[in-house]
Amino acid sequence: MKRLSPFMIGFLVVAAIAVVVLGMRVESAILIALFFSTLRQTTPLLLTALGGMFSERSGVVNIALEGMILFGAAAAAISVERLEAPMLAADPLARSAWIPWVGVLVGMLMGGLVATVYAIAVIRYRAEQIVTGTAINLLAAGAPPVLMQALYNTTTNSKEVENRLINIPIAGESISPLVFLAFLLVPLCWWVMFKTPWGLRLRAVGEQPEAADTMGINVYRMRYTAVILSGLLAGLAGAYLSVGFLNQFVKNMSAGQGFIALAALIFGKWHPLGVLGATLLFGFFRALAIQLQGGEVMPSVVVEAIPYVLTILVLAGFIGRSRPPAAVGKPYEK
Amino acid sequence: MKKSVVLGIAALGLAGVASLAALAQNPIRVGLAFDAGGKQDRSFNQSTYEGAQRAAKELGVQIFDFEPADPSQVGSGIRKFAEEGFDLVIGVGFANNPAITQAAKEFTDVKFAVIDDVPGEGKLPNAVGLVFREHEGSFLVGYIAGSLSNTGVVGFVGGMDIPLIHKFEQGYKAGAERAFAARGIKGKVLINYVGTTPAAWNDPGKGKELATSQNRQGADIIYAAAGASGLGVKDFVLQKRCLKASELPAGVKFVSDNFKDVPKYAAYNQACAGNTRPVFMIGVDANQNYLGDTDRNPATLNHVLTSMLKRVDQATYSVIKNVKEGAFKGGVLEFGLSNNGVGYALDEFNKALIPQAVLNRLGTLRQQIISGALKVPSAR
Repeated sequence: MKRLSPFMIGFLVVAAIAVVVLGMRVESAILIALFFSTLRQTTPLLLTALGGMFSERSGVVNIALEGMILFGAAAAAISVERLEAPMLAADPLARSAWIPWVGVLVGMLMGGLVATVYAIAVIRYRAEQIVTGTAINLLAAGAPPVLMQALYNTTTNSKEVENRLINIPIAGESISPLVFLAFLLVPLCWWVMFKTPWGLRLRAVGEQPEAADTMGINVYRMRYTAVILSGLLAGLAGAYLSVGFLNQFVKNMSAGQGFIALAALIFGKWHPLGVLGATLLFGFFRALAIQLQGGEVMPSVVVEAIPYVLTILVLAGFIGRSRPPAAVGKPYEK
Repeated sequence: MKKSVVLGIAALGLAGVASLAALAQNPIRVGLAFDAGGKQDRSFNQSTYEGAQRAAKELGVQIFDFEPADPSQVGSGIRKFAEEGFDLVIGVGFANNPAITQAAKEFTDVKFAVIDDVPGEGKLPNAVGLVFREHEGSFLVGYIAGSLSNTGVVGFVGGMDIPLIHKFEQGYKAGAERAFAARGIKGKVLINYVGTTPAAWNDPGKGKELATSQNRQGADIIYAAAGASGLGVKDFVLQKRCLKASELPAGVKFVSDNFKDVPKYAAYNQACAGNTRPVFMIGVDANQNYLGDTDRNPATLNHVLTSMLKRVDQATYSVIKNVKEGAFKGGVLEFGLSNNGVGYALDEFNKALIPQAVLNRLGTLRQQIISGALKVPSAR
């Protein structure tokens, strides 16, 4: 596995220069805002891409990440709202520290549950992975609105929750604890992937499942574990969106972040550090586009498009080369 | 001869009774097609919904609604209402105008209304456009913001970047600048938009990011004209509560201490000790003042300074009433300051926030706008 490639570093440098140049042209206040905004924008991408890394490293393409984020986000917001309802009925000002964390857990488990369904379809029944993933994404666009119609009599937004994750204040901003968690997961994932026997087996299963099987590794079990893990992390990303950053679920609130995470995964060459770099880059451009809204520096839509253009260039092989695990997308038959 | 007349009258009477009975069984049916914000956006769509609900209760009409899963469904939703022979179909938002115009040309015995746009250029006899002079109301809330900002920086977060929302923006900007000039301070109005597609109406995450950014640049009052995305601005001000002197960017300082005599709630005192000023949102369309209350006590500081009222509910109610009374006319109905179609909200949540002197000046400005002595810009 190659380390961070020069082009990755190059782009990070360009991004840093862009920040400095912009910083001189605009005020430092915007710069600080941009920094924190980048962290917030990166978090869901990073969590999802790390999850996707496990799935793809085991040989299963997970295009359903987008749907898993949505299911996780909806489950987190709705469970918090249901849990706090009786408490708020008794005392509207009552607050609980554990309810939002239960919501986060429910969101993760929901992501994991959806991933289990996906895993059964594509591993056990060897369904076409892209088609199955797309089906799950379509389901995720439709199922939460149906549930919200039943619960809140509207299909677009869930009720705003009062109990949300308590943010950690830093330099006049407040940052969700999940942001820290996401960045701490990077070294952990690296260690699991490259320093543990389990990580070695996972990579073997994704590169050469037949050889791994011959060595006594249970290919199916490895793949199930990896796909469910990706669902748990995508669900966590969803919970971050609904009860970490905001206080409600909004229909389609992931707005394609699952796909962007997938692109970041390719951009980051299926490596935790690469994924960190790629998601930071994507997060930076997303944040920059937001900061540039309404300004005269550059049309924000152009900035917003840059990460996607970069991804296409990478996929087309114009910048560096990105090689997926050899067995990715191929169902394994004993 | 006589007999036949009597019989005829009796038959007519019978038919009348029968048709009355039929009317009682088949009350007027009204279909509402919402836009991307959804009917619980606490704003524009919700205001329409509430107006329709009031009509349902007071006029005994039946309300059916349709929330499109994506913009491509609006057309078929509106068609469905028309095909089922509804009495009135209302398209909420300019985005529904093309579908309404199309349906109005096809289903000439069904009546249609569009909020915020004029169907068929106002030439269809069975379709009416309900439009508002939002810049007038926005001017007044802009004046409130400019008068009460403690930093001299106020913000505007628009939903979709389109001429309709530029009316809000321009009115607000003009109002704020007029107030800054009256105070003799050099103020600034920050302007941002959530996006350029209909998704911008329902992206509270981005709304919150924009509010964060504007606050970083010193804005202590932010006007959100962004549908459900405004909920993100609200979420931001409720979490942020106050701006500390140490957080102000270079070139911005506290120029006044308005709100210092307003009683604060406990959590505010705890989080905002020292040299701080509260931050506020200005709501839009519906009266959103109540959203700024954090402690279920209107008397303590609330973080929604006021709301620019756009009486979509009134407009909805009156068009339904017109249909019920047979007074429906195609064309355009305009709502502005002069007929109380727009305005600003003053209630128990913000009466302590806005001083009487400011209210007096607002009264004068309102008269000047109505009389035409004061021209409010409505476009960039």
